[in-house]
Amino acid sequence: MLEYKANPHKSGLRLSLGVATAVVVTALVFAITKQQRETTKQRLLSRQLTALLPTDAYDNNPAIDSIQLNKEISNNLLVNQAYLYKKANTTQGAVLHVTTSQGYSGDIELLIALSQHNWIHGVALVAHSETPGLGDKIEQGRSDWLMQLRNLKTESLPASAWAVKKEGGQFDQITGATITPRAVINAVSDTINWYSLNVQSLQ
Amino acid sequence: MTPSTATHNKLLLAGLWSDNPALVKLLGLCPLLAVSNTAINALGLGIATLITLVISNTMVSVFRHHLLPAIRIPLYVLIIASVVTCIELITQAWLPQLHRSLGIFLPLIVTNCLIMGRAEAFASRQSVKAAIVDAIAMGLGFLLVLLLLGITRELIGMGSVFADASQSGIKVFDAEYGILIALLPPGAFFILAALLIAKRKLDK
Repeated sequence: MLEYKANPHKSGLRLSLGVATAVVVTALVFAITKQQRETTKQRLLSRQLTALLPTDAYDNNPAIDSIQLNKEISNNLLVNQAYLYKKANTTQGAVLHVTTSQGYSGDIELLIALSQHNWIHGVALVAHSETPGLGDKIEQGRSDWLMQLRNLKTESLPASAWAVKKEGGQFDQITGATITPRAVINAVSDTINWYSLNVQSLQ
Repeated sequence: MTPSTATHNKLLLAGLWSDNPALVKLLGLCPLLAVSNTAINALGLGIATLITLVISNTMVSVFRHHLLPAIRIPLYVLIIASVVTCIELITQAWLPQLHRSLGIFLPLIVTNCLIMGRAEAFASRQSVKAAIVDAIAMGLGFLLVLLLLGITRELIGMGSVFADASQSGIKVFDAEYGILIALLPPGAFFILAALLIAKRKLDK
């Protein structure tokens, strides 16, 4: 039978002992894994950046030459970080990590690679929670939809082109998903506009 | 057969079939339904839950004489939360893909009532050995149902099994012919219901 006659001093002491042990153990695991977690994060990031940028466009490590921004550039788009890619110590452009809240279910995180010479190298998806089977076609593994944002010259795209075809723009739609492609296209277009205005501060 | 192996066999049978946490007790339905959309996710979460359950049951059983009744619940929470935090840190370091696809459901193992339930109902009053066997049995029972749900949903929804972002897995038919609803939340309920019916029919 459980006895419920609690002894507050004893209980309190045991509880604090338990808490102290738990804190020590988790702190230890945290410290042991710290190095490895950093390396893994950097490696994943480098892999994504290498996939986005043409190999001859840079000779630095953009994952390290980065600027923390956390800037809200409109009420649904946040620029988190800029990874600068450089050749012979001159900045050629930036890969911008942005979060848009216009997704169908939650935020969509993108990496957008832009050159200073008005090129979009490409766009990669970092995280999303769009509907499986419909909105998730923006994932590279599921369809080629994102590939149409590769190697585009921004000058050839007037503001009206930044929409899916059925809305008068020039990008393919995804059947069954209206909001997801719109969110991505708007995010890329807004990021390009913001970048062209702020290119001087991202050197 | 010694009495102890007999008890162990009984515990295993209970966890895997007669008292299965997912099919009989219906515990931990939130991760069961949410993360079973692909076989890989289901397997990942199943293994993480199994490991958490084994460690937490062992610890609760080892310290069962020190877990005073008045503070036992906060201490269970403390043990389970620390174990899950450590597992999360370790997957983040060495299994980043899994960490990303499980997302919020990895830390949410803390709130899986299956783990708390086994700590309170079993590990806190049994020997360490029995507690470990119970944890393995219950964890495997949960893992297998989760995996079965994951395989079925992925197969019906996308025509593949064990596919993820980097590899295509076993392709059965083209994703275009998949029945989308199996991947969406309602599909999880339908298929779980089918499994529950199947289990009851088999028991008769």
